[in-house]
Amino acid sequence: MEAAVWVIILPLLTAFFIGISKVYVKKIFVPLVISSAIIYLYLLILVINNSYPPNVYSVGAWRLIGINLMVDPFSGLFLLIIALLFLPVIIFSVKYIKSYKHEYFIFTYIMTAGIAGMVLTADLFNLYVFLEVSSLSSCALVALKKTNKGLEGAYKYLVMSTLGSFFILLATILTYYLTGTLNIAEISLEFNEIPFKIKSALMAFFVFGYVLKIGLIPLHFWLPDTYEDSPIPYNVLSSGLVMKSAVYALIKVLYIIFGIDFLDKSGLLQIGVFWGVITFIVAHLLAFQQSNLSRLLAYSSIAQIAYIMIGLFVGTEGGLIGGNFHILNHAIMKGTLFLVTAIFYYSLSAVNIEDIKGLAYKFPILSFTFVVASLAIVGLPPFNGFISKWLIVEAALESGFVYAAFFILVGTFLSLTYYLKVIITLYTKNDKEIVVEEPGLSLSLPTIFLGSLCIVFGVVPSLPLRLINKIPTFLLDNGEYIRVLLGG
Amino acid sequence: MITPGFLYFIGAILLLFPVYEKLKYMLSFLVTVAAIIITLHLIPGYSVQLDFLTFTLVPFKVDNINKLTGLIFAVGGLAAVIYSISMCSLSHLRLIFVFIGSALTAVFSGDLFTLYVAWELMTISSSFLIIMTSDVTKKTGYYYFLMHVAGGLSLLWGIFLQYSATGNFSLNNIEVGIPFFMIAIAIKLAFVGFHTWLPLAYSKAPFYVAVILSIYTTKVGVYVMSRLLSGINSLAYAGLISALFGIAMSLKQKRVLKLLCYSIIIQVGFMIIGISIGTTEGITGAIFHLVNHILYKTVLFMVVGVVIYTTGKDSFENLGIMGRKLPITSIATFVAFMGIAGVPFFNGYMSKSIIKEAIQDPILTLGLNVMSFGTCIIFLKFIYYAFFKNSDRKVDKKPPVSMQLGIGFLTVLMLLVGIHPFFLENLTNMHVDLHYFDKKHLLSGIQPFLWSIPIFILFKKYIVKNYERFLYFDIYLNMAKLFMTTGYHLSNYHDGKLNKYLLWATSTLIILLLLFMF
Repeated sequence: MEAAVWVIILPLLTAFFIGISKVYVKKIFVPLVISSAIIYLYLLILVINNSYPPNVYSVGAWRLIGINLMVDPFSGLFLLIIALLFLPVIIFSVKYIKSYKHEYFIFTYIMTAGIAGMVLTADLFNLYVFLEVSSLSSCALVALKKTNKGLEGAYKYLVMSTLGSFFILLATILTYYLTGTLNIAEISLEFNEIPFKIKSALMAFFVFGYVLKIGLIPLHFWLPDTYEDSPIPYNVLSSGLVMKSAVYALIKVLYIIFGIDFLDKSGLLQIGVFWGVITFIVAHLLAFQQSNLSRLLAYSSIAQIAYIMIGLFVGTEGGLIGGNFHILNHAIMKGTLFLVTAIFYYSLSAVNIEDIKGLAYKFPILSFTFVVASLAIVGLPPFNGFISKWLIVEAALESGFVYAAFFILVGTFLSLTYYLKVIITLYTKNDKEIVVEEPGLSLSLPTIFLGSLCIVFGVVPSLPLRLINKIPTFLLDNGEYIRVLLGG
Repeated sequence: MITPGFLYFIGAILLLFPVYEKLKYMLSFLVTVAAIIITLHLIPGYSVQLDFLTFTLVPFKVDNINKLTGLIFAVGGLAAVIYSISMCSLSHLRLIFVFIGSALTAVFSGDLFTLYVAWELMTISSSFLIIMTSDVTKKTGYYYFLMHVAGGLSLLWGIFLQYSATGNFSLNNIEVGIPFFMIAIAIKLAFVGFHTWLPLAYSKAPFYVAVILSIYTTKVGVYVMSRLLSGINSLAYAGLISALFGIAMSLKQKRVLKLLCYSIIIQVGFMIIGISIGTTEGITGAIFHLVNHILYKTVLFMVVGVVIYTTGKDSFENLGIMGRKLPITSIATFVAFMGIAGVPFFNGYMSKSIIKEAIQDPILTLGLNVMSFGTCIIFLKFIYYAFFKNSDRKVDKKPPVSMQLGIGFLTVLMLLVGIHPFFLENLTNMHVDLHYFDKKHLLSGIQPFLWSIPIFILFKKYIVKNYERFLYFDIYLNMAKLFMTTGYHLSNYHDGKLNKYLLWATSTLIILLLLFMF
């Protein structure tokens, strides 16, 4: 089945044809973008359905020497996030983006191709290449509006992203030098021979490089700046996919190559959980201070990623399920919040919290969506964020990280303080006459769709959990993964 | 089978559709009445099971205690919705329905998970009710929401501890993490020290919101306490202290609504004492007291609501409009007063007698008498302003019929329970072996009331005086300030200079290498 290959190729091709359409046929632009996104959705569903048991594809039939793609439930989850976010964001952007329209779509499609490549590849160097594809196009998207703030953010992003990539590349090269192969499964087998100290150093480089891209404190500083003045629909993909794909890569490298036993022995699990706790506490404190809505959401993203890291670093089956569920939920919740923010920006160029005062009476349904998503991200029942946080806390308690479990609840309280601030501003009557541009259905429908998912996944969590429940088998037991990849 | 809480949720969803005014009245009436009928016909022992995630939940379970509590909640729902329907808009009505529905779900929940979900739903819906009803309540709503979520999270942490120790969610007496359950419940039932949200929210919010909040919020706390923390004897003294604090505070209030708020704290003290004794008699007394308390306190809130509606303010002087001008309101006030004072043949007497009978400790008996006495004094002040002080206030507008209907309905119920106390017992098969109307109980019941009258007359000038607001200290605000300043200092480190950031990155790398290598 070739669908997995097309998941990477289709966005690249679309990006190419968008470029051509700019030069020759301008009329074809909207149909091209939309139809490509719809076909892409179909492809993704096809691949996700085939993610269990895992499938391995050798591109060009070169077997192990060539490029291998592997679809397992973990990558299936990320494809699911792409499937849920991509089409709504594209529909949203067609109307929302007014300047540099072609560039925006070209870079968005390339970025998606990069992310799809990252989650599908089973090759360490390809992982790096796809990571760079997505990071660089992401940088370009930040700078798209060419405002001072946007350019400053893009510059910081570029510096930090390059620094991170440098260490990832360094670690990749060292790995190749030590093992003589780039296939993840073969590296993992070879790694049994490598001394403990060297492996530790390698791991430190990998962790540092990827965490720079994930943005745990104190490596988070570039993140709010990039969100501040970039096209807001891009922020949806950025917080939902770009940051998460780095989490994916880190987890894949750590769990498959190094193996859970090594992580435990080297103390990474303890460090990771502690790091997560520090990160979300500080991020919540900082988020409360923000007056810019996008920056507030950015700090909240940092905090949520920290929850995810705790879940993933607890190192048990429950923790992996909770963390992965939170990845999905955070993509949905933060996507909703950013899309509502984007509509506010579109309608009356509101950027600060003060600017959205009284908008609830202009946009009752959208504001309700905002409230639902923010309560979900705070982690109150009966929304989806509650379920995944519950799973994470339960797993942390089970494996003895009592302090982490306790502070997650404290963090829930802290996050309420600033989301509630925004909500109350939204619902305070404004005496000023507000002139708004009606957002129309193509903007509000994707938003409401994502917002309704917050409730659906909260009430019926078994829908996504059917896929997520299969993830831990291949991560906790890397022997299983290796067997599938080498045997395929 | 459809549960009463679920019925309210359906009502809230139906109200999402654009509904005409008449249809709104019809729908609300249907839902509230149907909830009462369903609750009346519940059979103790009935339960529903549901598989969720890896747990088997019991979202609905009926027994005698929660049937009675649910019944009074449903009755309160009917009265409160009728009372407030002419004033509240569709979106508020929706929130009210969600609030009542979640309170009923909490009462009928059979496991801790459902309880927590319903508990938080109550918090969310009531907070939004406070936030959205008027523009002066935004900060109050913020405070209320944060306080209650802190309580809810404390409950959640307790549930986690209990679950990881015992492996189930059953609603029995708690074994592990009792302090966290205590904090959660203390916040919900406005125990002294955790009570700051109550006077703030109930006095700032529009009066019809206060009526609805006062029925459910604290009472759910009491009910949950009777389920999870009954029989901890030392808590009885805590309840006593809380009640004494409530008496002292309510005597100093200038606004009637605030007086009622602090009087809730006193009444909750009675229930805490009853539950803490832990015997069947004590708990039954506490639950009966909960029922009676909902009846008379709701009526008092509604009466003050009428005063606010007709005069615009809830100062004591404005109470003077009662008397001849508002006959139904005046009768209701009188009945509620007799009830709260615990005078025989009115409803409060019955449950107070049961609790008094259950107490063995002489200190507590004395305390209980002091509490009754204090309550009488407070409400004599209320009655004094309402009926005895000459007032020249005029009624600008008549209260609508729906308001009076709500008051009248509860007043009739109060009289019924007062004259025939066995009515409550028969309703739910909870029999207390007590002869309410023998000489001993009658005497001990009426004593505090009789004492309070001469004392009120003697010390009138101190009691009726307007006290200045004394030093106001709120520890939670100070904690919030600490939180803000810490955040402010942290955000000052983020000045946007890239070289500083690179320094952070480098030091992180060095720390990481050090950690992994050595």
